[in-house]
Amino acid sequence: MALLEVRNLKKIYTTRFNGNHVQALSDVSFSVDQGEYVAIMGESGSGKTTLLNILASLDKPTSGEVLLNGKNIVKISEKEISKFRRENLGFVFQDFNLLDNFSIQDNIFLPLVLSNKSYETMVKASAPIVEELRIKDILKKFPYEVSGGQKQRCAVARALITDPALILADEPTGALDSRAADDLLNIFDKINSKGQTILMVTHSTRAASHAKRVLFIKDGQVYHQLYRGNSSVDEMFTKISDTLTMIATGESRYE
Amino acid sequence: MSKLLYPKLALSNIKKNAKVYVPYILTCILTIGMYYIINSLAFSETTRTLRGGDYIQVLMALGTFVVALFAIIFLFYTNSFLMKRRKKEIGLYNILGMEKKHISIMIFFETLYVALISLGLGLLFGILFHKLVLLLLLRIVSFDVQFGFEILPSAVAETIILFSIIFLATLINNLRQIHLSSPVELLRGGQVGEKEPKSNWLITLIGALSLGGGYFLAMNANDGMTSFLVFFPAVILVIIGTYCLFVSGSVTILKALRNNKRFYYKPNHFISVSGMIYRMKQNAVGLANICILSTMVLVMISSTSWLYSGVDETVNQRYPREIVTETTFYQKTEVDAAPFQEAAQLAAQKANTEVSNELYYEYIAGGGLRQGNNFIVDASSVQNYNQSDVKMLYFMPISYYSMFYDDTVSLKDDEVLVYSVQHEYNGSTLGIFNRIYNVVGTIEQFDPIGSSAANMVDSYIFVMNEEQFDWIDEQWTRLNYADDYTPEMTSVSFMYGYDVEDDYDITAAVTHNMNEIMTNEITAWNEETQETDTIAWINFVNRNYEFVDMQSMFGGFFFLGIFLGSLFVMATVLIMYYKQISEGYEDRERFRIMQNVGMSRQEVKKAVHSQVLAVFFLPLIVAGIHICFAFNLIRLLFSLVSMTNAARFMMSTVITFLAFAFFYIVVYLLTARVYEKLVSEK
Repeated sequence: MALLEVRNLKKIYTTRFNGNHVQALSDVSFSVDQGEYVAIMGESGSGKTTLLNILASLDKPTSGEVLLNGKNIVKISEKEISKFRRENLGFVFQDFNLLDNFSIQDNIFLPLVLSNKSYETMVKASAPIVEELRIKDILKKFPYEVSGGQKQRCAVARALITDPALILADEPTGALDSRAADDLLNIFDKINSKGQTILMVTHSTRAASHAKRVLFIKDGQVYHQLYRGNSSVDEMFTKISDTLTMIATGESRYE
Repeated sequence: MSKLLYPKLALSNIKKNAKVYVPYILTCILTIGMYYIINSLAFSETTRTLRGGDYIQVLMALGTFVVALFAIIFLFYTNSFLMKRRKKEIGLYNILGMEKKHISIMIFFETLYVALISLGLGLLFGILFHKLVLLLLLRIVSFDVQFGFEILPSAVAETIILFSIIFLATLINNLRQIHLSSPVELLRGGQVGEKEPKSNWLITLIGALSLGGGYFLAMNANDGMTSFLVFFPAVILVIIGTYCLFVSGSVTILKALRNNKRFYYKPNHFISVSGMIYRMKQNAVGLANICILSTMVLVMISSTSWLYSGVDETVNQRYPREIVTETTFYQKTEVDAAPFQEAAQLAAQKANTEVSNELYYEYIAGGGLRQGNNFIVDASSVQNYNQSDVKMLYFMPISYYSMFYDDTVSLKDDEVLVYSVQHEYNGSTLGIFNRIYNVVGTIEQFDPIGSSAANMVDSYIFVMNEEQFDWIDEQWTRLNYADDYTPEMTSVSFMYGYDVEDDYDITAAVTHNMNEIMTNEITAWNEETQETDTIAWINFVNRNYEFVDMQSMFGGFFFLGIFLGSLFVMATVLIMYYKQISEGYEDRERFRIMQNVGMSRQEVKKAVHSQVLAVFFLPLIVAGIHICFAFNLIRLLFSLVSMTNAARFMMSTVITFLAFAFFYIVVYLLTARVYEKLVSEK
């Protein structure tokens, strides 16, 4: 059974003043298996962010369903949704979303504190993660005292600490310089190789080329997908670039 | 470019920033209006012609000064808040190609509009409400209400001048800030200071010590004179303590909480403790301001309302009879009540009324340095005094006491009775001039008249038999002729008091007649004795006069308390409102992130609410604590003006506090809605 199953997702925004309808997602279906590393690509306005918000249960679709481990998250009540999100999903955002008033360590602990875990449990759960992500030395510092790469690694640690079924990453390399971005992508590879399922939204070809599968979204639909197979990262990079060129130039062929 | 561009731009800027500008303009209008009102009260004909109008005018002039000072500080403060919020916008104008010169022109027009609107509406408000406030004042000092509408040109002019200067000064300050900063700095203006605050043990310690010191002074004062001396030091210490503790102490405590892992890593504590650390850093000074302002309002209104409500009692206590003649001689003279009685009869007759309820007695008065139960009365001891050890001593022959209070007692040579005006005498003997008397009883009921009732220092009235009274007089007279002793330091007085019909005009006529008759008599008397300095002075007191004087003075105080109190309350409201706005802007981002990490909307709301609640009610709670400690001090301070009814002061304090707390909560709820809206915006 697939870990995540997205079926006929549709999202229509109605603007507040003149009642115009804007279709952000018209019909999106795909599935993600346990241990997969999927990148979703698309231009600005293609519906990427809307899709991610729905997967993150931050937004509700107009129609369609999203099954995580067989459970329809669209139907979860407002009351339980935060708990569900906390326990099953890990988030990595473009702008890190760390709270300035917490030290790095407290930022990482945040989800566990909210779940009312004991301090000892938190320390124990975080120990291997902070080791792996090389942030052990900066735990006592505050977000404004560390670099962007360190911040993002801290955000990854926060996402991992609850041992979530799925990590959702929204342009995780968007605010990083190329070295920090490569570093982060290597970390994603590593945690994926240990069995962590990752779903990443990006429009960086380099980021997407690390994924095992790339979905292309255009005009609110899954337009194309690429499997990595046995290709190296560089070969994948070329494939994605070609696909993007094809989408941009040769769209008439498909219509 | 059109010349009208900048005026137009300025107007639309004010409109767009209505959320911060409207309260600012409202504040300006109210402050201007109130300044005009108090200024015209201080200098108008209506108040001058009132009974006791002099007091009222002096008080109102004082109030004018306070309001002016307040206006300067407060308008500067709110203006700086305004500019902080707008820096980003101004930076954007700069980057989009407006030169600083153009921005300056734009800001000039903005200030001009605000000044014109505020002055126009403020003066209108002031002129319209002036009459209402005057009626309130007249009602409080209970005089007849006069009708008519009055505009005081001098008050209008002074208001315009003062506030034009204030607006000009804020404009210059704003321009200076814009010229000194680069566009990038301006762009970032709204979001400086996200660093974690340092907890400073030294400042916390200083704060704790000053606050403790202030409280200690307040609690340890035990008489009117000491309370007067320590009042300002205590107030200053408490203010310093409040600022230090709000700024540093709060953060220190919160950090200590954070270091307690078991306590800290719980969902509720985790969010609120770390949130509070930041909030306190940004808001500490503002909150300390609110706290001090609230305390001032509370002290002012509770004490002035107490004063005002106690006018009757105080006057009756100080003047147990309607008309009192206090005659003071340099040395003991053979004097009795007869000439006073005659004069009083005559004076009453002329005014068609009758003398009743006479009370008279004679006493010797002088200062003495108390050492145990011994009093040292030589000049050097009394003059180089340590305030609280010098007491006023009164000696009275038993004959008068028997006549008016208790005719069953008789006293041996070594026996005295004591009546204490302020603190209890608490001694079994009295030692003076190397003689020791046994205190054989305490007098419960006595009516001290005139100065003995109004002394700032502790006063004791000793009743003794005639021989001892003469002996004390002899000793003192000898001292009076010693080289280093001035005669004013002791005196022999004869008090004569009586009631007539209780009516303002009648008592006025009787007092006038009495004065006339007695003055003639004294001239004759002094000629007779051939010693012009026998009578030191003679004082005619009419209780109704005193009542009017006191009522206009205390009523004026009470009015000023209400007036300044409402001004300060307005300031508190505005500071709270601005705090809510800036909190709202900053919390919006935090709110979003916390939801993303897995807190529900309700949880976040609850967490943020409890912090905001804590932050806003902290000043009120601390103000309450201040008031508790101030209670003793203020009670004693007012004993100097013969206010002694502590129970009533307690009541007026509690009522004032409850009313203020209620008002505070209402304001909080109203401003919280603005906050709520800001936070929920996506």
